[in-house]
Amino acid sequence: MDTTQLLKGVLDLAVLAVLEGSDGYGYEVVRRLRDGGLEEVGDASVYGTLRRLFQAGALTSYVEPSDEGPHRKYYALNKRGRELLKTMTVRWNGFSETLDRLIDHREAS
Amino acid sequence: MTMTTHDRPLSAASSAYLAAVGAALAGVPDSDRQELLDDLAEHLGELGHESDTGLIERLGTPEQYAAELLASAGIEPAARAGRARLELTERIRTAAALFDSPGLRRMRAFTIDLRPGWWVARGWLVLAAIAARSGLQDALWLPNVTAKPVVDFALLVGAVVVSVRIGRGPKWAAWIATGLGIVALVSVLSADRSYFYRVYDQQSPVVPGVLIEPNGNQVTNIFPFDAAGKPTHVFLFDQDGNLLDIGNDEALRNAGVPFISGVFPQLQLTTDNQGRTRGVPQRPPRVSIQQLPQSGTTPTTTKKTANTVTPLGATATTAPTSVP
Repeated sequence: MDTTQLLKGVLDLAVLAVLEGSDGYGYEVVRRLRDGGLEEVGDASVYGTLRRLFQAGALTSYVEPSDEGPHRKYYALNKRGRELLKTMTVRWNGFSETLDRLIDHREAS
Repeated sequence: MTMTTHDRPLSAASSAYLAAVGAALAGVPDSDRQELLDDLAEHLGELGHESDTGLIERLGTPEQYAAELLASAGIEPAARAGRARLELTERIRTAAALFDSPGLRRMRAFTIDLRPGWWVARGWLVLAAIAARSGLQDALWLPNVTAKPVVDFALLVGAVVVSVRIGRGPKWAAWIATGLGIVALVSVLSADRSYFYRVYDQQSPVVPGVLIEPNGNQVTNIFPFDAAGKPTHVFLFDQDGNLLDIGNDEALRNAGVPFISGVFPQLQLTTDNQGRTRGVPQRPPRVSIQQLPQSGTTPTTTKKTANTVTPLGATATTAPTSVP
């Protein structure tokens, strides 16, 4: 199955999850997702998702100068972002369990 | 909030990519658009790619990037665009996404690498197509347009320069030039090629009556030997039973030399210092005859000739070769 199609539905959750531990700038978020196993995630999708989450009020952002290059716009989870992450995690777990059951059932029969 | 200053300028490729995404985001509300481009500028700075190829391999084409960005950011492009147009762009985007994969991105990047070569070839092709109207031979290497090599060379340089400039110019002009190049390619490929066949024919003359060996040497005489390695005389016939003329008969006849058609070896014509032509016997070449197996007797031709030609009124009636 095409992973990019699957990713579309869960990218918000994945982005929120990698920002939970520590703040990150766009490039860093892409790298965390890829290092975490989502190798096919597109740079544009991550930036678009960050933008949407920011506009939805789930993220705050601040700019920090960097030693080696351009300024970096860091994103951080705010209270609303954490709540969103929690609800989405619950919803995902339920969804994932349902699918697991469906797949197991098919394999068992 | 907006971030337009950078400590380090972007590479030329990155700037071009940024501009192209900017163009693809036309129709997006200005505030959104500026923020998205600022993010991209920062990202390009982090990536630090120097080449178009590297950027396209990583990010997709600027159009793909813009489409992916808008889709994931949930931004509707072009509020002023009609509903039909939106649906169309959506459909195109969906179709494009189907054909988007790392392999295809690499392939696309590779074809972009090849573009300058095509631009140069296109300049040449247009002149070659003009020159090829009088045949393909005028189109090769330096297309012969004016019959003056210096002028033709200047034209070729000019055409290549113009083609490359168009290739780097606006898209609509590049597409027209590509179409023109394809038309030129087709006309060069379908140009008259008969010149080359003419040259080929001239290189392999066929003179009637003269025997030519595969290596191109002319057979001027034939020396038969018997099984014991002794030179001998024979009558030779061709496949139709005619006495063999290897191209000397007419000259011998004209020289008034007494000779018998089809008997080999023949006399060779020489001209002495007083201008008289004489027929002289030629010394046979030194050869080694392979020993024949002892099982049979001497080799004989069992096949009888259809025509029994007896030019001397002699008894040469059985076989084309006779071994004494």
